[in-house]
Amino acid sequence: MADAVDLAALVRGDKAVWAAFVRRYAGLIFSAVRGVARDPGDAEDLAQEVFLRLCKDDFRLLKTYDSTRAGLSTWLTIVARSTARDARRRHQLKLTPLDAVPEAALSVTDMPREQIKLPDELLSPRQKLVLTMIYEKEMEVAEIAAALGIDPQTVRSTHHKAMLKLRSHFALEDAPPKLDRRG
Amino acid sequence: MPGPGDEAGEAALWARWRALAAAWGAGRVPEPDALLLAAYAEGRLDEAAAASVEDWLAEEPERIADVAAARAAISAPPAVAPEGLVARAAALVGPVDPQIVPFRYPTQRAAGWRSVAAWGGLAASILATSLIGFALGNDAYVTLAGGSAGESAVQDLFEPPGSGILPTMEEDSSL
Repeated sequence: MADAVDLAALVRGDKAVWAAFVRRYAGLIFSAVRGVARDPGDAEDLAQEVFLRLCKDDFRLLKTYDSTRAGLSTWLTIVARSTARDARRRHQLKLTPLDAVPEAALSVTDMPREQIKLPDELLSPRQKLVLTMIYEKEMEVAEIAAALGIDPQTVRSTHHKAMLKLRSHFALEDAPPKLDRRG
Repeated sequence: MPGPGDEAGEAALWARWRALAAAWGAGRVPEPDALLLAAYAEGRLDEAAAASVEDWLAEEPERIADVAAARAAISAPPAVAPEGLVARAAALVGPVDPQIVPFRYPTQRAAGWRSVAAWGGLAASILATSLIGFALGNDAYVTLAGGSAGESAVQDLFEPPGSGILPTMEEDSSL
């Protein structure tokens, strides 16, 4: 989607420019929040929250947008999903009675801690991200490649190299200490 | 990608690393702002900046979908929004259309002069009350001290005694 909006007029509060902006980006924002919403009615409310956030406090959020750093559609999608998620979280916090929270979630017992030092640079950020997407988000290689804008083969090789590092690291950690047979 | 046999083992290795990282407090990466995430989605960041975003995404896996959606939005055809949403969102700015009620109104931008008028009115009423109170109090003092009714404080305020504009009691009786 080509981004051509008179941002200066928009943040001045020009009603006609705002109306044109809404007509142009309502579909994009609606479709962005749909992934976070429970149903279409909820998506409409969340999209309205996004527009409200964009114009509140004298367009404070819109004034932070910088067209030299990212496209407006991309930025709006990120802002829309983030706003929608925050709104949903606030709503859920209001509605969740304490009795509904499992006792385990409220406990403050310490998790058993492995007494092994974690090397800071064992995995690169890209490797951590790919493993997170595979094992925690259960995403397919093609999905990961599309989300990261990289080749599927790169995803496979990143995964492979990360696993080699993890295996090697934990094999060393798990190896029994060698006995000193001298003397 | 892992085969069926070693998939569980690899997942367990990753889970072990995750638990270890959490236990050591690793992964406290500051959240990138929306512009930085958008720039990442568009592939505009250099290697170091992209690595910092990916580090954060690995700790916040639910935000990966935001980046994927933003990347998809670059090439996606424009979606259609419900008419009601467009009308209500458009009504958030500018004069209110009585036919359309937005969910909530934005902050009033013209509230400044109202505030000045309100504080000014308050200051004026305090001043007026003080002046009247002072005048009444002074009148009561003059009455109790045996002064004449003509020497009222209200008169004193505007015409101090001896100014000669109004006749005194003595002058008045001699007339």
